[in-house]
Amino acid sequence: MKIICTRQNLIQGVSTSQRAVSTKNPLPILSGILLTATNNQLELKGTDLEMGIQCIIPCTVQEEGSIVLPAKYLGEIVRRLPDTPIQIETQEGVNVVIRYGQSEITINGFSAEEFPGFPNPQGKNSIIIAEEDLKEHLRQILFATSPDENRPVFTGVLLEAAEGTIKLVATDTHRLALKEINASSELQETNVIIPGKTLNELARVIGAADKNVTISIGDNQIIFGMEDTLFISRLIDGQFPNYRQVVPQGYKTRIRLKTKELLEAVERASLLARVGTQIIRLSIEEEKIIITANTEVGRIHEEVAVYLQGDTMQIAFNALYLIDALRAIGSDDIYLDLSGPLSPGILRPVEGDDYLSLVLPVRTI
Amino acid sequence: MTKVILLCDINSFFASVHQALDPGLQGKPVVVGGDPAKRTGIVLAASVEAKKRFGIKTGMTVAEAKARSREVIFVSPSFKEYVKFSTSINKILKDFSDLVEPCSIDESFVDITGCLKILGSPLEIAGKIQGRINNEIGVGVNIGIGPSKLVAKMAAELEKPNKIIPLTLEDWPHKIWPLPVKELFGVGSRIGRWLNQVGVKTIGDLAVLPPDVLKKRYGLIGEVLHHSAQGIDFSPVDPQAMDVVKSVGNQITLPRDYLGFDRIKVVILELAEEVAQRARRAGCLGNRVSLTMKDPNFFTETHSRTLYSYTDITQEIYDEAVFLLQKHWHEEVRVRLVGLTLSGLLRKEETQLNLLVERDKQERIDRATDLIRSRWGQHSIKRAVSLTDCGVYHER
Repeated sequence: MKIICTRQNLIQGVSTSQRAVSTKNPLPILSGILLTATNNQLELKGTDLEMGIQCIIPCTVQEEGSIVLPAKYLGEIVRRLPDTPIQIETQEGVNVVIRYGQSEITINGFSAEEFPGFPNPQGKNSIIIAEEDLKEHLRQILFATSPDENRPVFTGVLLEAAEGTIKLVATDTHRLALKEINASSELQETNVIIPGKTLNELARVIGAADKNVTISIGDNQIIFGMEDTLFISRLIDGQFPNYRQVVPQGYKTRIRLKTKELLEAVERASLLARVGTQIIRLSIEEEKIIITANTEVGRIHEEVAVYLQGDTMQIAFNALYLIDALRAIGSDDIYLDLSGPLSPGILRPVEGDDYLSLVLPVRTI
Repeated sequence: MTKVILLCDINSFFASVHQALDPGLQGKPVVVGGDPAKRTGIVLAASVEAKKRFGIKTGMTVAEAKARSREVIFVSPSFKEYVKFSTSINKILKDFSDLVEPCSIDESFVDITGCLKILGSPLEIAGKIQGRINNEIGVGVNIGIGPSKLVAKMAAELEKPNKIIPLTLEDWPHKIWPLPVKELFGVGSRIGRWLNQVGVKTIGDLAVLPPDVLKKRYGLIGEVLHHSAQGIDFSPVDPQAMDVVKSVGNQITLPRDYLGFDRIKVVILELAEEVAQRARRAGCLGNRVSLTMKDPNFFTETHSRTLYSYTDITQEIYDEAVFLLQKHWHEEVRVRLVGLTLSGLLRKEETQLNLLVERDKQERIDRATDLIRSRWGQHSIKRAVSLTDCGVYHER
């Protein structure tokens, strides 16, 4: 293999495909990125066997071929290269020379044959969605996933498509986020759980204006196709809990308030809330909501102006859950709907009814 | 004003309790140990006589101790009695000062700084305490007297048994510095090994070691060690120090080595039941589960995992432990001992509610079994697997 490409393209290709490479994988070959040169393009692939990322960058191919290079070193090297044309050439065996200007680096790689094959992208049900939009949807949902690998279902995001709408749902059993998207295309009914890790990495590489992502769903895999990048990920097996059951219909108390005011008050209260439990108390009154925390560190009393509709109420929450939800909501004005001190609190943007997030309260004696 | 702190350390506590309960054992070499048939045959304590005459030490196997002499009398441990004795001893100490900090079952610090005007000199007070413990409880006690907890503790170790030993900072250099460094309070086996490697053999060597060296290696603990070697200790006597339960754990040496996850899981479930029940009784929730396993060659491994949410539910603790078992243990390796601990405890004052109904169900099952047990006894209800030959708790 012998190619010449720009530094900019190389950085983009390496840093994108590197996202699928796990530093903790026991298989040495998986610590590498597969580089394949054909038809004046360089294809870079990384995988941890759960998720694979393929990225294509333009280059001049002087000699076709392929090689696997250690992702960590390749990434560090290309970021530090000068802005000149860069030549990559395989040597005898599995060495590679990277030439830039009058200088060169030789690094040892692995044989391309050892690299596991990518599953053939196969998916029937295609959804097309703008990159910018998907990035924002993911931001609003992903915070509610759980890191608990012992219960894999909760580490993922449910994608449910039916009757022209797509729903994205995530929950760690203490809070839940739900986003509804109107899909223009004809959709088959779908119900899959996508690993949160895949979506986190995806959210980092997408976001370009006027570009689309094509989502194809297969039997046990999902593919996100961008202009020159492809994400392939395994789906999570299991039954996602029935989220419809837990979202209360109606409310006893509705307050309307400024997101920023409540967020800042809760953030301050969180500083004093006890480490570990993070419990703050909310007292909802006629024209204000009083937020308090009282611990061995000290006491805090915060007031935020609200419009109240319905009953006054006392409720306690984990401050961190409330902070995450308020940050994710992406709207200046919100409703907080409550049905009792032991029922979930529901946050909705005042504008639009395509998003809600639900936080379960803390039962205090 | 300089403080006056006492450290009361009961001599050979477990053995002394048995001697106090049974006059026939007094003055005899008594050894408290487990049952070798159940493979728990380790010396937990030896009476003063057994130590002096036959050199029997805590941690020896019962077989080794038996080989030393036929005169030795073996008794089985009785933890209820130990707790009872410990409570009575601390009650006596509280007659002298309200600042009593129990630091283990047989050791307590007493701050008598404020009582000197009323009760007399430190030596007089220590004498009175010793007299009452000797007469009312019937056990020997070592009392160290010093200006800090550290000095009192070191003093109490100097001479045994049933002695009162005052120690001042002026005496510190010639009495304490010649001692091996591992005798210093706060130096464990790991730090001791490192200190020996860098040429620190005695406490005096440690005292002259530049503090920077210690700080670089052990951070804050290094700094404390530097002060400790000089006899300086800033920690107050805190009567509430032991009130906070930090973890609940149980472990069991199996009657025979177990092979296969299915069999070990039975033991884990029994332990989880025990641990979760203890946490619930203490009104605590924990978020860290640790599983300890020992193989027949006494190779021991402990693995822990922090849970996503706090729990006192048997099933959740069990699930975590099984996860740890499958992740870290080889199914082909036999298991001699299993231990399970729940830590990261906090008071169950508040409960984060959960979306899942299934968790609610588990909580109700636990509550129901607790109620049945509190009314009809611990063995009135048990898991069906406990009745198989893998169960270890049914015979207890």
